Amino acid sequence: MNSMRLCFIAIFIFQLVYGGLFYEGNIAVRSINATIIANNSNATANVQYVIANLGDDLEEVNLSASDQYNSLQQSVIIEPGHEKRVNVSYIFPVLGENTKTLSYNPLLKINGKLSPKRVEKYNVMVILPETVQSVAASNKEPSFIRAIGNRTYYYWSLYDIYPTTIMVK
Amino acid sequence: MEKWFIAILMFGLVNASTICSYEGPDVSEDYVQVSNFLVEGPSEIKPGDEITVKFTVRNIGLEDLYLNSDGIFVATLDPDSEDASFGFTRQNDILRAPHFTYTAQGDVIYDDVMVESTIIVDKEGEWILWPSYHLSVVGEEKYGPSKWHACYFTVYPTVQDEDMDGVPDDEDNCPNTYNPAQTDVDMDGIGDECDELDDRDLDKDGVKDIIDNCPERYNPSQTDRDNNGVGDACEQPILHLEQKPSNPDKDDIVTFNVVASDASVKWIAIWVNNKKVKECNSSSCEYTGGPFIEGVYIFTAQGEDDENNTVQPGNVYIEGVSYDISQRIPSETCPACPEIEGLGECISQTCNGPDFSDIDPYDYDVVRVGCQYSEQGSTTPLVFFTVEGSENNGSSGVYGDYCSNNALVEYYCQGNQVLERIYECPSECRSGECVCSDTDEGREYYVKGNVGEYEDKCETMQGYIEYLKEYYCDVDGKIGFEYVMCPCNDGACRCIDTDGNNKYVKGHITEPSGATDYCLNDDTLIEYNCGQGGIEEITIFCQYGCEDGRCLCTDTDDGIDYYTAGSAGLGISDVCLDNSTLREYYMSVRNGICTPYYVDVQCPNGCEDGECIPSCSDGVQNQGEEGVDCGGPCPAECTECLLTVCAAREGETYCTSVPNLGSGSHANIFRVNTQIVQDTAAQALMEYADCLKDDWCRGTLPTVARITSYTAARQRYSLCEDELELRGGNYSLVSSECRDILLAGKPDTERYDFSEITADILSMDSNAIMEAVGYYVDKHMQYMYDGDSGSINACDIDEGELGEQNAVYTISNSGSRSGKISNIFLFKITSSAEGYADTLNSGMITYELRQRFNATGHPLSNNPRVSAEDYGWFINDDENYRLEYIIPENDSEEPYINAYLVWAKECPKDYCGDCEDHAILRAALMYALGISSDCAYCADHYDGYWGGGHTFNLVLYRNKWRVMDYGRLGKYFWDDSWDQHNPNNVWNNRRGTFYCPDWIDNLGDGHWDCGCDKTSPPKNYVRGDECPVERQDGIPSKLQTYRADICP
Repeated sequence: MNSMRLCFIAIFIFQLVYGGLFYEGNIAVRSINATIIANNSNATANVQYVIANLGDDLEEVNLSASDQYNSLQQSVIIEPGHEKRVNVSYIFPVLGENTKTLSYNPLLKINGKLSPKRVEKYNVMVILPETVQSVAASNKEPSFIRAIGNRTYYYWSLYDIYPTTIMVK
Repeated sequence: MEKWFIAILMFGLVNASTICSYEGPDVSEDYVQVSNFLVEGPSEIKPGDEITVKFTVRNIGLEDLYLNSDGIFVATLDPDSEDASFGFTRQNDILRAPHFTYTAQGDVIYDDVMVESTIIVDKEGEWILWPSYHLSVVGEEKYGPSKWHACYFTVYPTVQDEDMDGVPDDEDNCPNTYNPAQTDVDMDGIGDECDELDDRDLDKDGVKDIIDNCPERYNPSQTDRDNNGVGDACEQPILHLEQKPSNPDKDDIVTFNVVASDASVKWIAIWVNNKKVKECNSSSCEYTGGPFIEGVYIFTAQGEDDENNTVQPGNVYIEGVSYDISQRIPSETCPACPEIEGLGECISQTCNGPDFSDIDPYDYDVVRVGCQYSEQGSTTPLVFFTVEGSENNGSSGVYGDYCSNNALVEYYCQGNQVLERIYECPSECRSGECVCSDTDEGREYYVKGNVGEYEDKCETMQGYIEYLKEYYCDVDGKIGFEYVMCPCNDGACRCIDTDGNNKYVKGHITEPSGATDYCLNDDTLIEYNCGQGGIEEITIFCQYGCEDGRCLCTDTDDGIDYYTAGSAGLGISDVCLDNSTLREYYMSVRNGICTPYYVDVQCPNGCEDGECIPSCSDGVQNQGEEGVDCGGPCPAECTECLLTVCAAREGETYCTSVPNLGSGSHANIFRVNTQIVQDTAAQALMEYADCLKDDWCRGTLPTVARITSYTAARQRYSLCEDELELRGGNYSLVSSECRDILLAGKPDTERYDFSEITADILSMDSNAIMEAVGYYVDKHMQYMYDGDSGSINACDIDEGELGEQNAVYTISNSGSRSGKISNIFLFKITSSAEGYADTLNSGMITYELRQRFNATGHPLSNNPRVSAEDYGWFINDDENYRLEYIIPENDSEEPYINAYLVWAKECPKDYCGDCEDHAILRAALMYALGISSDCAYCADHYDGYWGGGHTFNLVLYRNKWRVMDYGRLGKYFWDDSWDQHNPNNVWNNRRGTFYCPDWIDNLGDGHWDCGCDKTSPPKNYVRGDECPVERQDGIPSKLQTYRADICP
């Protein structure tokens, strides 16, 4: 009896902490295209997610593109076999005093949960402030580095991958 | 309201018969102001007409003005320039200066003179009149300004025009009849309107010409439906022609629309380049055609009304994208039909071939001329005459398209005419037709080519997104192009082969090709690589078989498998050298050649029949074990660490202990319920899934979870085997990572398709979760001392300083910290090697250091060099080096110094923290992913002897308690300096029970070992038991145990 009661608690806690980390429905994130324009104190993210309904039924889901600073939500209805583009823009801070750290988290939650599927394309462009010519470190090797006028940008072009945080400093 | 009234009134006057007007005011040098000057009269003034003049004069000076004998008047000059002035006013009077009254308003009183007078003009010609005055100034006379705002007008001569038709009577052919047209069809000098003798009917339609609405066209009905006075029979309808689009491109569909202005039009036909394309029996017609090739087109239309009148065609030119009038050149006329014996006279000629709208520059075609002959009262069938062997000879009647340099001369028919046009082929002209020729032979994205003048080129979208504009020839032989997203350089996508043309690695060509190596059959590989001419496809025979897109290089037990006897072929098989030593053969790739190698290992349980005798620590579920190294003959109980499984096994006792994650110190430290911790934990799974999927990354992993099978290790084996071979088989000389990989042995033998590994699959395996967390934290977190480092505290927590970081702080803020970092390799200092001397801070080379080099016989030069391996991290004023003096075992090699940076101004990775911060983050992420606190916790060891301690994690990984510390999970399993973590240590499943008395150099070999005898693994004992070994300083050893319940 005692063990039964405790196990019930275990189930409860598990659901609270862990239950359903990943989304199990038919909506998938196909691609992410993010342009991050940084200045010395914050950065503007303009992100386009392409989401698709892989199932046979009409789906309505809540989407939230969030990082630790923002949570933007909207409801989307997608017909089976169709795609929709979701554009999200927000501003997030650039941390640090001597060395600036820009950390972009692309995770898009579907009904509050993360998609367990990889995205087909994950493109991120980080445009540095005019006064910054290069970054000291990044947690992913950029695909290439270019310049727009007098601003340097780093570009990650990734395929069939989980879209995880990109950090530069 | 009053102003509006005045304005309207004045407007009315001006419009009535105003000849001149000047509203003014204007002031003369005598301070005489004139305003409202108005001259009125008939619109056409004739002698005897009356002209009225009005104006106002005011003295605005300070002095009165003395008017002389003419006073104020209208100065006038007649056409003979004789004075004809009139309207004299205020003669010999005083024109008063303004003066003020003393009314409440303080008004100014002016002496205004309003002149209004008339004159009857009696002379033809130009008259001039203007307002004027006549003053007496200091005894002299003075007139106003000459022709001041003068009005000029003409008096026209009087003409006799009795019928008022504008024609003077003496010129009017009907002076008493209004006939401004003065028509006189019979030319008898008497206008038609009054010529009663004119009765002609030129068109013989019975209607006299003077009343015929179509006097020159037979129309007895005289219909005039639009009642415009012109009979329908002779009225020309108008066709409105419209073309959409007005300026078409070559591939556009074009609509030609024709609408008649008159409903009498009953038939309309549309021609395009003289080919009738549409007929309509109505007053409107529309034709839609195209797409058209480049060129000039003539759009015409013609109509007929119900009187059979022909509507004249109008032309509209369609200007295509390559409009060039010179491209259309009419040829000479057709050759005459030859006389043919037996046939009569040629009665008609026919052009047979494409018309202009049909010609295709990419197709050779022929225009032939045919003739019909009369033959004794009948006609022959059409005869096309040719002269054999001279197809392009126009005189033969056969016209074949031909090339003139790069221009194509094309023939086509227009009616019975043969015409030609010249067309510049965009690429090449050959054999009478344009030919598309692509130098890179199609859609070869990785090679820069061109089609004629069109060259493949790189462009950007929005200024930064690169793409290739690739020209090619389509199936019809025409030029096409497409846009291809790719990293682009000089007109071609960059080609990268991810395996560097290594047949033992499955690789692929980067986008847009994505061509991936594959096995054609069991022993044939199709390998893609980047060549000079683009992507090359090579067929390779694989001696040891082909699998999953690469040639195999393995023996029968799939590499290093101590517990399976295998063969490397050629009679080489695994063999026991004695009862405990196994010689394990394996295959490895060296310089592109697959070659057998071997390694000698000591089997913990002995060697028999070419394999080690299974044990409870071999990482394989064998010998009747219930799980991997647990249950059955092994002492450890098989335990599931995922809370989900715990829930599924309701009632089992190990479910009774659950993490206290919602309150107390655990909640404060791990913060598992926060979004950021859970998101980060999910990212750890995702990144680990991506790493397992990637061949290279997977090969760098020291361990893999059960589901990730032995395939995971093959790549890392081959790499580390190369290194081991390079070091002569001496494990102590290979990198620590490779040593871990090699010595960890072969992982599970079950196969798994790594391309299908996803984060949610990993989330269902506790071992995979632990690996993922170890991988993620090692990758993203850098050791950095915090404020409490070195403090004497049981759990390395010193709240007076920075102290431990909770998981949220570590994730969100620690990346911006600055602090002390150890072991960042900067460069290597040698006595004579080539390098970059100027980057070396000579102050680092101390006297003692030089002495050490001297003692080895390899003295440092005065300007010691550093290697080119400058790491480059934040070298600045805060730099602080640690120098590591290295003496190679081989005396012939010179010693060197490794320089490490131990202070960083900023955290170089995503997160920074010391050992306990690492342990806290790892534990938090594991808990967030559902690992029970029965299987993973944060452990702390305090070492009083050395005055320090360490915090790490203990995890129940693969049913054994393991240390999870810096590096990927498994890094410490075999490390001599952490001998207590040897996987042979099979602990029970009670947490907090591992015991180690102290860190000492137990064997005197320079390594810090656990105080316990290396050959006698640490013991499992019940919580609360005291360590049986006392510390050297006499402090009770209970404090020296790893105790989960007192550490974060």
